[in-house]
Amino acid sequence: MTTAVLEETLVGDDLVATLTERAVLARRLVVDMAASPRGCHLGGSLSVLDILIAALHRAAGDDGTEVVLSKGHAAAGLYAALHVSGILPENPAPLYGLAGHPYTGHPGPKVPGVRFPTGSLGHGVPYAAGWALSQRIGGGNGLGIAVAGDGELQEGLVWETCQVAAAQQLGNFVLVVDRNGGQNDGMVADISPLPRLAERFAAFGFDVTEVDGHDLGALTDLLAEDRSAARRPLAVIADTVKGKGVRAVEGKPGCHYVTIDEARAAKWKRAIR
Amino acid sequence: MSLTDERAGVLPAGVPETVSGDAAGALPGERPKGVAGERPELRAGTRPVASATETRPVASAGETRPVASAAETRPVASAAERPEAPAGPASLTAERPEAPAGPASLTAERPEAPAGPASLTAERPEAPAGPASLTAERPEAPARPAPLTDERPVTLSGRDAYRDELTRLAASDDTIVCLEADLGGKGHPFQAAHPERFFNLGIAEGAMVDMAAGLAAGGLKPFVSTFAPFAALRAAESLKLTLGYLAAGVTVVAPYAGVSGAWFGTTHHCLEDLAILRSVPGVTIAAPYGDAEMRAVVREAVRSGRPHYIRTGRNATYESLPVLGDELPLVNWEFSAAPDAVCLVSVGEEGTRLALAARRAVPGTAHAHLVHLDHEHLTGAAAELARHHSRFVVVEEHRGQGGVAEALALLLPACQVTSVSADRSWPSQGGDHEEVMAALGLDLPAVLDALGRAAGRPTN
Repeated sequence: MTTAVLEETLVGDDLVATLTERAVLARRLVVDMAASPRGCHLGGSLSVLDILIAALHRAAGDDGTEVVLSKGHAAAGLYAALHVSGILPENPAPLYGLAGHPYTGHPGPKVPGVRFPTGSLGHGVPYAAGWALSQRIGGGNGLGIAVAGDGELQEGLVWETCQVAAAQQLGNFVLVVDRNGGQNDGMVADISPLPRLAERFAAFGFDVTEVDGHDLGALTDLLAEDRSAARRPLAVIADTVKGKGVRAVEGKPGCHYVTIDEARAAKWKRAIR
Repeated sequence: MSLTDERAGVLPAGVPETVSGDAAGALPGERPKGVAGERPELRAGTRPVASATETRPVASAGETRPVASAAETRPVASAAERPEAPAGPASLTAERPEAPAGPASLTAERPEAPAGPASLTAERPEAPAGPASLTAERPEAPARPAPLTDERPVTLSGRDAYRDELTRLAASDDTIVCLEADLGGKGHPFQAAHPERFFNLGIAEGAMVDMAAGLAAGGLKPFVSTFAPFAALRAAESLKLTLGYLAAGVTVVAPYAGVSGAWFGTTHHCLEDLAILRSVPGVTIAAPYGDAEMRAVVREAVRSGRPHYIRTGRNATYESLPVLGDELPLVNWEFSAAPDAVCLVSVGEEGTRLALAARRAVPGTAHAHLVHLDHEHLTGAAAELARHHSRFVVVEEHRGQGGVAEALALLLPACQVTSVSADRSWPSQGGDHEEVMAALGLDLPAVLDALGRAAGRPTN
């Protein structure tokens, strides 16, 4: 299941093809977890998968880059991404939510490849900022990459950290926003909208880039950047589709948390390309 | 969240705050090198709780364990400075020439002060001491250079001793990083000595603690500091995750604990931090008394790499109780008495100050001082306490709920544990630190009353 390809040898079309293959495998694993007795946060796990796979590819370069999934409810997506990226050896899907195994509904550091507990929203952003600062103190080139949801940006801690990161000129801190437009109770736009988001980050003193959050080539290019000399943190606003890859639920806020039976899972998995 | 005026109170090294009451005269240079035999006996009988059996002579050799013998020199010296002082709460207050008019006269108005924090609070009129005069006593001082050697001619406040010790340790440990959140970063000696490892993150307590988790994951030893209410309460979830679940090697240093913020008011008080931190497994909690204890705790935090929460006050300076060796003991026996004696258990700066004062007033009382207050340390300390005594009065500047007395009571079901604490009161008045404490029922009369109750004597 896992790809044991040496990350450094992957370039250009080969890289995108490999990461695309990983994303397909990971999406099927996420559907498997939705078919577990517990169900899972399906929509956000599917929207964030390509971001995670691209970020983990950067981290696999072993330059001190750390990826923190701040929107910890997308744990199923993280476990799947870690597995297909070769970081988590065992297949987490059959073990998801089970006693005796660490694959809880929000991730913690008992899972190989996970350093920080996340799920209480906002905390992963300063974890990654602190990591970035540690790299800068140590003279390394590594990034601290936080992957947050757009709904998560309603948390004050996110902006508190943006303020600090800009003031500290943490150019190796990267905040990727998985802008899928949904949150637990509905649409972000209906509950607490985030107008002029790019301008907000720019006003905080960030470099800002907007990108298709399912374009693995664009994402890997962005995250491959050497930011060791940068003085402004980077915000990547990645537009994504909640439930991406499963036509039946794509774009529907109701797919935030889903429990399905195995027959439906098999059907959905076959349709994932 | 905090106003800038608090930072005007940060004293530089060499300018120890004048501490009123029992700690006055605690400056090393002024302290006579007393020995045990020099102690004049306080007169018995002037105070309701005193009895002939309590006012036994200075502890005999058999009663005094090695540590205590050294410790004896401390209160003796203080008492010797005031040989004319009769025992008793009213006169003790009157001894403070530097005390503002408020508390002394208040105390004098209720010589028969009934027991109980509630009644004390109810009787207390407005405290007159105002911020203007207090501020005037502490003009803002310029940044001070970091000491280069171990020479420490003065006893520093807890937070200044922390800053100084961490700065020294960082000279030989380049993994130490120092984070502030705008309430102590100005003129910080660490910044002067190690600017590349000093970060004033601004008013961002939650981000500071979480970023410390990230720094620790990156192989560094972060020390973060902000006032106790903002560290323990505003950033409580971050502490649970960082210090608890992650067991990250992060040390949180929290001044302004208890009501040491005094006239700054309710938002700046923190009577709940021990309850919060004690409920987070794996966190080493320390409330050092004085310069030397703070330095020992900071050294231990660096050495151990374990998560620490260090509670301290504002600018008060105290000279720590002596210890044998470099390690702080589980229980520091300032004085050990006969097994049937009531034992004071002191916690934190002010709890220890009050316990020392109470023991001077009731010399037969035992006094065990605790620095470490987490469950692991208290479990060991409780066992040691129970080997010597069975009746304990805990003095702590914290709520009763979730405090050390409650913990000891659970650990020592066969013993009698009572408490002098802030209990459930809300600090809502101005005044200096001692006045605000007194309004909560945390003063010497309350401790003496609790001692009397624990000894089974009728109280006034």
